[in-house]
Amino acid sequence: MTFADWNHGLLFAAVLIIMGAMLFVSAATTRDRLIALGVLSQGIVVTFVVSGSFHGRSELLLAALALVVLACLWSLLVGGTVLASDVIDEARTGDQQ
Amino acid sequence: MNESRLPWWLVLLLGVWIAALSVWGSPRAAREVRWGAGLLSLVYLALIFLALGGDPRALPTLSAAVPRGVMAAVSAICAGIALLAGVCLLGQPTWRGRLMGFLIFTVANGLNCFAIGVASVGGTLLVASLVLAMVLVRELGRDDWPSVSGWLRELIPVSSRTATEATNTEIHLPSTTRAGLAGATGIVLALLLVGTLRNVMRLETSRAVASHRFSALPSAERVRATWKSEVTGQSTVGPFELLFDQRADVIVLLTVMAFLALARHNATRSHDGTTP
Repeated sequence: MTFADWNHGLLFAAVLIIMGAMLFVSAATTRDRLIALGVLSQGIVVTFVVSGSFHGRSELLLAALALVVLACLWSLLVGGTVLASDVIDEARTGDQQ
Repeated sequence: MNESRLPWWLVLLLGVWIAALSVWGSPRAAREVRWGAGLLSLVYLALIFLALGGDPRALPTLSAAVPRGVMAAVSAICAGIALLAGVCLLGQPTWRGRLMGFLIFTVANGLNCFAIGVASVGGTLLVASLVLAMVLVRELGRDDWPSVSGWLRELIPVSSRTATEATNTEIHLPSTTRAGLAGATGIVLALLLVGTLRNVMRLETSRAVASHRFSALPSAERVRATWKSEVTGQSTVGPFELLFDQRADVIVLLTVMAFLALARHNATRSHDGTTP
C-alpha cells in the first residue's frame, strides 16, 4: 500500500464513520439503529485495517476491542429501551402480513 | 518543531458536507431540496478529496488498471460503491431499500478488504452479507419480485415521510426538568468534545510531523522518517502501550462513541417520556 492509498483509505474510513454516526443519531426504530450500528462498525474496522496495512502490522485486535466497547455501550444505554415508533413499526408489519 | 494545525477551510468543507448530508436525510424537507442537497454533498466530498491532496488523475481507472494493478482499481471501485450505498441509506429509503443498501454496502466493504489484503475481515463481511441476503430474500418473498425500476425506487427516497411517522420521531421536552437535563448533558458533551480535541491537538503537535504547504497531511517522506525513528527507539514498549498510549485516533474514537451513546440515550429517554 502506497502513501496515497493510505491517505485515500483513511479519508474513506472517516467518511464511513461520519455516515454511520449520522445514521445512528437520526435512527427512529430498532431496525434503523441496527443498520446504523452496522455502518459504524464497518467504518471502525476499515479504519484500523487501512492504518495497520500501511504500517505492515495487524491492528485487528484494537478494532475488535473498539467493537466490543461499542456493543457494550449499545446494550447498556440504547438497546434495552423500546421506542413508541418501534411498536408502530411492528404493528404496520403485522398489518402488511 | 512545526505546529500541526487543522486548516479552517477544511473545517468549512467538512461542515458544509455534513450539513448537506443532514438535509438529504431530513424527512421533512421538500423532495427537490433533498435531491439538491444530496448532489451538493457529493460535490463537497470531491472537494474534500482534492483538499487533502488527492489527485483525480492518480485514481486507477478500468482501462489503466490492467497493466498497473487490478487490486487498486477494485479497491477504488468498491470504495465508491460503498459511499454511494451510504448516501442512499442517509436518504431514508423504504425498509427494503435500507436492507438492500446495507447489503450493497457490506459486500463492497468486504471486497475492498480483500483487495487491501486482509482476507479475514473480507471473509467475515461477505458471510455477514450472505445472512443479509437471506433476510432480504425472505422479505421479498412476501410480494412479487420487483423489476429494475422497482429496485431503484426502493433505494431512493420518492416521498417525504407521513405526518404520523414524523410526529413519532419528534423529541418532546414538556417539563423544565427534562429541558434542564438536556442542557446539562449538552454542556457536558460539548466540554468533553472540546477537551478531547484540545488534547488530540496537543498530542499531534508534540509529534515531529510537518505539514506540506498545500496539504493537510504530512508528506510521505516525513511520515516514513518519523515512523522509522519511532520503530528503532521503542524496543521496550509493550503491546498495551502500543495500542493505547498517546494515540489520538483511539481517544477520538472512544469520545465519539461515548457522545453517540449519550446523545442517543438522552433522546430515547425524552422520547419515552421517562422522568430522569
